[in-house]
Amino acid sequence: MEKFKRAAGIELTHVPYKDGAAKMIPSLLSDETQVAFINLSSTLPHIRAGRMKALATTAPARLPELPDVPTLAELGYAGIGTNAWQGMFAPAATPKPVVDKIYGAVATVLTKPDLRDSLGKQMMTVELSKSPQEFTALVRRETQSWGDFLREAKIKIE
Amino acid sequence: MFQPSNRSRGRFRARSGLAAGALCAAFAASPLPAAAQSAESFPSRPVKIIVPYAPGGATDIIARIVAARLTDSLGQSFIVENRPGATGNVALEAVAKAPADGYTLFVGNVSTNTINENTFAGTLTIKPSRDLVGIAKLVEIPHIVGASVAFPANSIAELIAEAARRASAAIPTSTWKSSSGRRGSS
Repeated sequence: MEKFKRAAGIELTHVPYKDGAAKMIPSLLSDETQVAFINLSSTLPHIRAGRMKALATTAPARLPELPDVPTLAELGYAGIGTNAWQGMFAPAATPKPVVDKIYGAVATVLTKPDLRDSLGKQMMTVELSKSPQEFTALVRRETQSWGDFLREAKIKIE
Repeated sequence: MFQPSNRSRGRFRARSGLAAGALCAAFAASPLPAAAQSAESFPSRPVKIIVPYAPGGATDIIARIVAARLTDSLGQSFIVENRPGATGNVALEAVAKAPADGYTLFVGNVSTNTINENTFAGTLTIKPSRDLVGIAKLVEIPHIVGASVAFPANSIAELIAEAARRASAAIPTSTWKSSSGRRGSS
C-alpha cells in the first residue's frame, strides 16, 4: 500500500492489522476499513457475494475469476504489490541432507495435478522453487530490497 | 584423487576399510556421516510446522494442505502449530531457536520472512534471512486493492480522486503487509 500511495501521489491513513487477513476482512465488511491491499484467496468469496469490491489486482494479467477487474500494471502501477508468496523454512543449522529430503517430498506433493487444481480454486498458484538454495537466495534478496525501500520511504514502526 | 597410487597402498586402504567396518559393527554405528544418517531415517517421529497466525488465513491453509500431503507421503505426522503474535515474530523466534533437526519447520510469507526483519529490527531478536534456511517457495497468491461496499470509489482512478477530495487522513486503509506501514496518519 505504501508503494501504491507513493506511485499514485495520494495520502491514506494506515490502520495496522497485526494478525493479517483474518482481522482485515471483518473490518472491510463493516466499512471500518475502506481500502486494503489484501490477498485474493481470502476475499474472493466476499467479492463474488457483493460484500466487498475489487478495484484492481496485482496479478500479471487479468484473472479469469475477475475478468472485469484491471491489473495495477495496466493502470500504470507495474511492480507494486507483486510476488506475494508463502514458503517453508527450517532453522538455519538444519543438515543439508535433511533440508534436501524435505524439499524433495514437498516437490513431489506440490506438483500433483489434483493439488494444483484444488489450490487454484483458492487462488493459490503453485510456484515451487528449483532448490532450497534458490529460495534462500530469493528471501535474502527480497529482505535487502524491502530494507532499501523502507529506508528510502522513511517508514518506521512505532 | 582418492585412487591408490600403487598396489601396496591399495591393499593398505582395503585393510583399513575392513578395519573401519569392523569397528563400526562393533559399536553398532553406521559409517555414514551423522547428517546423512539422520536424513536417511527422517522423519522417524512427528514433525511440527509452526504457522505465525491464527487458523484460517492463506498461510495457515497452505501449511495445512502441505502438512496433510507430507503426512501421507512420508508416513509420519506433520502437525501444524499456530503461534500468532507480534505480527509473526513470536513464531519466527520459536522456529529459529528450535533444534535444527528437521522436526520443527515453519510456513511463512513475504511479510514475515522478508519485511519483519526490516520493520522490527529493534524488537525481533533473530534475523529470518540469516537464522532460517529456505526449503521452498510453495505458492504465490494475487492480491487486490479491495474496498468496502459503502466506499464511493469503484476504480483506482476514483480512489485517487476520492483521496484527493477528502485530503489526507480521511480514508482508513489497511494493508496485507500491515507490518510495513506507519501507524496513524501518513
